[in-house]
Amino acid sequence: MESKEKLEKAIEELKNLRIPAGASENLIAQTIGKIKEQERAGQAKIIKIRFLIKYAAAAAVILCAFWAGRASNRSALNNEQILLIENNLFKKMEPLVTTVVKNNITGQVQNLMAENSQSLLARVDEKYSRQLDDYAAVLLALSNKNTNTLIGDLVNVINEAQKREREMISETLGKIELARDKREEDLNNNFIRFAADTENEIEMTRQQLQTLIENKTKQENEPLQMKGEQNGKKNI
Amino acid sequence: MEHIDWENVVKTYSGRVWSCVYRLLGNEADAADCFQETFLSAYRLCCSKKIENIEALLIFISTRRAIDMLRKRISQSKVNGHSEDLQLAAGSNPGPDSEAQNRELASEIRRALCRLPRKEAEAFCLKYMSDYSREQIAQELGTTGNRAGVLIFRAKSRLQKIFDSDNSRYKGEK
Repeated sequence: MESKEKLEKAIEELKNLRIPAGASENLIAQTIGKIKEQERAGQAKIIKIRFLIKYAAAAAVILCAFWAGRASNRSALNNEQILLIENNLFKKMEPLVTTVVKNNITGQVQNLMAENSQSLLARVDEKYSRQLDDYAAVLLALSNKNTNTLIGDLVNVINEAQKREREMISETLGKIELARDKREEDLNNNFIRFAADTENEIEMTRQQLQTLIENKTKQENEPLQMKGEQNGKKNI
Repeated sequence: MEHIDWENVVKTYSGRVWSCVYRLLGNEADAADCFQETFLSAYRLCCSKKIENIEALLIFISTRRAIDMLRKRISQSKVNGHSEDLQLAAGSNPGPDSEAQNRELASEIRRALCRLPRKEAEAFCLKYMSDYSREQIAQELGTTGNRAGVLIFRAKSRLQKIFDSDNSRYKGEK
C-alpha cells in the first residue's frame, strides 16, 4: 500500500473508530465530585482570605483607637514648654531646612543652567550645522569645477593620443605600400630576366639540335655517296 | 467569575469529550484519566477567565491532554522496553484480518502523532478528528487562520514522511 494512501486510510480509520460506549455513569459522577471538591476548596480559600482581611481591618481599627486615646490623654503644655519644644525643633529643623533649601536652590540653578546650556548647545549645533552646509555647498561647487577641468584635460589627452595613433597608423600603412610596390617591381624584373634566359636556352638547344641533325644526316649520306661512286666506277 | 453549572456541563459534553480522548488514546483507563483531567482543567480555566464557548474549550483541552498522555505512554513504553502495540493488542478483542489491520493503522498514526511538534499535532487532531474549521483552530491555538493552515499542512507532510520512512524500513526488514 502506498504511504499516502495508507495515511489517508489511517486518518479515516481513526476518525471512524468505534467508540465502545460513552463515559460511564461512575466516571461522570467521579468527575462531578472532583469538580465540586475543587469548588469547595476554592470557596474555603476565599472564606479564609475574607477572614484574614476582616482580622487585619479590626487590628488596624484597634491600633488607631489606641493612638487617638493616647493623644487625647496627654496633658496640656505650658508656654515655656512650648518655647522649649519650639527651640529644640528649630535647632533640629534648621540644618535640615537649610540643606533642603540649598538643595532646592542648587537644583533650580542647575536646572536653569542645564536649560541655558541646552539652548546654547542647540544654537551652537544649529550654527555649526548651517556652517557645515555652507562649507559643503562651496566644497561641492569647487569640486565640480575641479572635476570639470580634470575631465577637459582628460578629453584633450585622449584626443592627442588618438591623433598620434592615427598618424602612426597612416605612416605604417605608407611604408607597407612602398614595400609592396618594391616587391612587385622586383618580381617583374625577375620574370623578365627569367623569360630572357629561357629564350636564350631554347635558342641554344635549337642550334644544338640542328647541328646534331646535320651531323647525323651527313654521316648517313657519306656511305651512300661512296657506294654510288664505287658503282659509277664499276659502270665506267 | 460567572457561575457555571458544572454538573450539567459534564453531563452534556461527556459523550463528545469521551469520544475525543478515546479516539486518540484507544485505551479505556487512559481515556478515563484524560476525561477527568479535561473537565478539571476547564474548571480551573473558567475560574481565572471568561469562556465564550465551553464546548470548543473542552474539545481543545481534551485533544491537548490526550496527545500529552499519548506521548507519556509512548515514552514510558520505550523506557520499559516493550512495544506500545502489545498493550493495545492485549486490551482489544481479536477480530478479522482487516479489523486487525485497521487497528494497526490507528495505532501507527497515534505513534506518528507523538512525533509531531505539539501545536502541529493539536491542529491536525482538531482538523481531522473533531472537524474544526481553520478559523476555529486558529482561535483555540491563539493564532491566525493562515498560520493554522500552515500548521495542518506541515503536520500532514510530517506524518506522510514518517509513514514513508516506516514503509521503507519495513520493506528493508522484509
